[in-house]
Amino acid sequence: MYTQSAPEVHDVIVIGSGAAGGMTAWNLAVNHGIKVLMLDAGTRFRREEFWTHVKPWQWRERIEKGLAPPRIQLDPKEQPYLSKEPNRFDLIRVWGRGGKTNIWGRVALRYSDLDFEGPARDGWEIPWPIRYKDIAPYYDKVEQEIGVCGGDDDTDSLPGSRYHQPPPGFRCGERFLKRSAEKLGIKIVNQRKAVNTQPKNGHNACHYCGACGRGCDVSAFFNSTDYLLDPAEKTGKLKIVDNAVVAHILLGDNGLAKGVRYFDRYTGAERIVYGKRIVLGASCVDSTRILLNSKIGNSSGVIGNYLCEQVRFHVTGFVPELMGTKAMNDDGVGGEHIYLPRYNARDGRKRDYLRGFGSQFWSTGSHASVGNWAKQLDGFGVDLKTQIKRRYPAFVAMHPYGEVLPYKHNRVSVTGTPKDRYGIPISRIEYSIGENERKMLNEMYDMAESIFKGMNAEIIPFERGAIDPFGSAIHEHGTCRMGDDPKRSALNKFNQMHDVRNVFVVDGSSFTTASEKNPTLTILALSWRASDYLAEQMRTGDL
Amino acid sequence: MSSRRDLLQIGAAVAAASVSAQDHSHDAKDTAPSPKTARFFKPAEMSLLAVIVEHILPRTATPGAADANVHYYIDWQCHTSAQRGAQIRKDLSWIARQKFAKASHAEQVRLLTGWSKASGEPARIFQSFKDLTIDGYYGTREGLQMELGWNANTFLREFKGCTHKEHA
Repeated sequence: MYTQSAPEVHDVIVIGSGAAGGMTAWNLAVNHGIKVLMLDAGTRFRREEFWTHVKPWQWRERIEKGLAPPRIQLDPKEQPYLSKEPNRFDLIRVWGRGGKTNIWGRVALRYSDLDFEGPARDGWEIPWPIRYKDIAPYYDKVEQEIGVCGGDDDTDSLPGSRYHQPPPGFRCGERFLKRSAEKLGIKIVNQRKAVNTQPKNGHNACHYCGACGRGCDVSAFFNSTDYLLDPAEKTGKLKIVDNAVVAHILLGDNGLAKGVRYFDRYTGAERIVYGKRIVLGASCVDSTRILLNSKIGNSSGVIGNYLCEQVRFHVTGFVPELMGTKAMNDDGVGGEHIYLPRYNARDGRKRDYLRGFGSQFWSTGSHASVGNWAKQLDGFGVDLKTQIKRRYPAFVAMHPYGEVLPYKHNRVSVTGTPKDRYGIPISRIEYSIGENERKMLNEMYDMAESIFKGMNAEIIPFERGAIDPFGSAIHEHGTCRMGDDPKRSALNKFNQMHDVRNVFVVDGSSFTTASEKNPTLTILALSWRASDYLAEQMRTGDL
Repeated sequence: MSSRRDLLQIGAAVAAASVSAQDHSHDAKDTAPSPKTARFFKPAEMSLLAVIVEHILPRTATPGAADANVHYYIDWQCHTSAQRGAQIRKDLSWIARQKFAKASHAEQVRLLTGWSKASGEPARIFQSFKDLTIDGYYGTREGLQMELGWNANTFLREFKGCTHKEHA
């Protein structure tokens, strides 16, 4: 006689393996001893295959031989999305173990109450349901676990930390930028980066090769695979299913989620797994797509709306005192070593826009590319060669980031969109900025120009008002936001769905606003906090 | 000050094995220069290309663009993009028709100077070769390391940053 066994019902199913999913799975498995099934849309990236230490000319040789570095970013041809010109939104996704943490910018800024209290103060859209005091202990825990270097030079908009590792020194150009900004009363601080400058928790220290964007071959910066998933797997509590492209969260008759339908990325085989609790951390747009296609949790109608990230642009130039000096090894921890925190709430002057901006400074110094600036110099021959060499060590760059308010019309939707290779509707992204952002951009440009003029920099010509294509910051937020009012938000303050209480959403989609800051440290802290809450609910039998 | 950092780099390179558990021994095999073979342009076109790139970034105390095989870099770019290849071949043909190849060095400089200051098609063609030469040259060991002094993407035990008192 054939007896069919009942399918396994997992304690927790986590969708996505990046910062959000990785932190959730690690906390549940390692700290709470809870069994977790993780569904990841790709497979592990192998560190030994990263081209971290391939010089530019070696890169070319390899390419000519038909070799290629590991492809980390998802090819949109494999999983398309819709976005119309002139408001094109560039969506960068990584389907693979660790997600975008394999190649992220590592900027690890704490939100402050300027951020959490912003909407309540100015009345634009719903307030955050949490304040800094709610998340501060989790920032502490995250920083102790993953390692973040930075200074003790906190400001009202950038809370400090007792747990920062020593920061790398400033590059020459960064010292000029800092000095010029401070002459204007604008404070520049050590950048906070999730890079270990000292060995920590078994992870190597950075060796300052500056090639973080190709993946770190010694895992010296935080990535979900090495820092969270591997330790979680070692407990025996975490099982990861590779190449599982999630399509739907399935609802049971009791209104709670009962499982997840996914497709094998390569065979297309359809599978269903069952679980008592589902945690969604597939990154903002993909999590939103899954929720909308699942038609769950959206009695408020907010899911998919209020997409927000940041506007940014670039101003570059040359410091006169550094022209003609010897090029230095300016790699450092990759990216800038300084940060300009938001300051516009400090001077008491009323602005004609809401919220604020900060600035990053990557590429300052002598790096492996002369970039497009050399092509803008006149002439050719010995004179051109001399002019390029003279300017090369003097290069400085500013990249201001400004908050984009949450607008209902900025959205991810799936209605009427074509279907992907698995027969599931793809995402459509509609996005634009408004008058508030344009007014803020004016002050951002004024600031950048003032700092450059303050050090008598030779400014490379730029078009004032121009901004990067939408999506360039790779900081999508807001499409499944948290809030106290279930009529205007999808999640409560613990990232739990108001409508479907055994579903949690822990990635950037859960943010109520975008702020001007990079979100990953906050995603990690929120995920830890949400999974602590989930574990406690399980312990008390409430979930 | 820079010598201190140079020393740091040398010391760090020695210490690299302890810093990294990775095996980089494959680098030597994979990075041996390929024999240079033109895959897109004909020999006469390659010769003309070599002259043009060397005019744009010539040999000085450091190698020039032709020394750095930038004409082969351009050939590769054209080999891997049919659209770009067709345009560059057309542009090269335009330059050839200006009797550039057989002109004296001084005459070639005069022609290039004229195109660089012109407008319209001559300026576009000049800028196109200039852009490709810059992209090509400063990605080579000759351009990036020997000319500009870039010596990074290596192993350092610490990163002190700027220690110049005059920059404080």
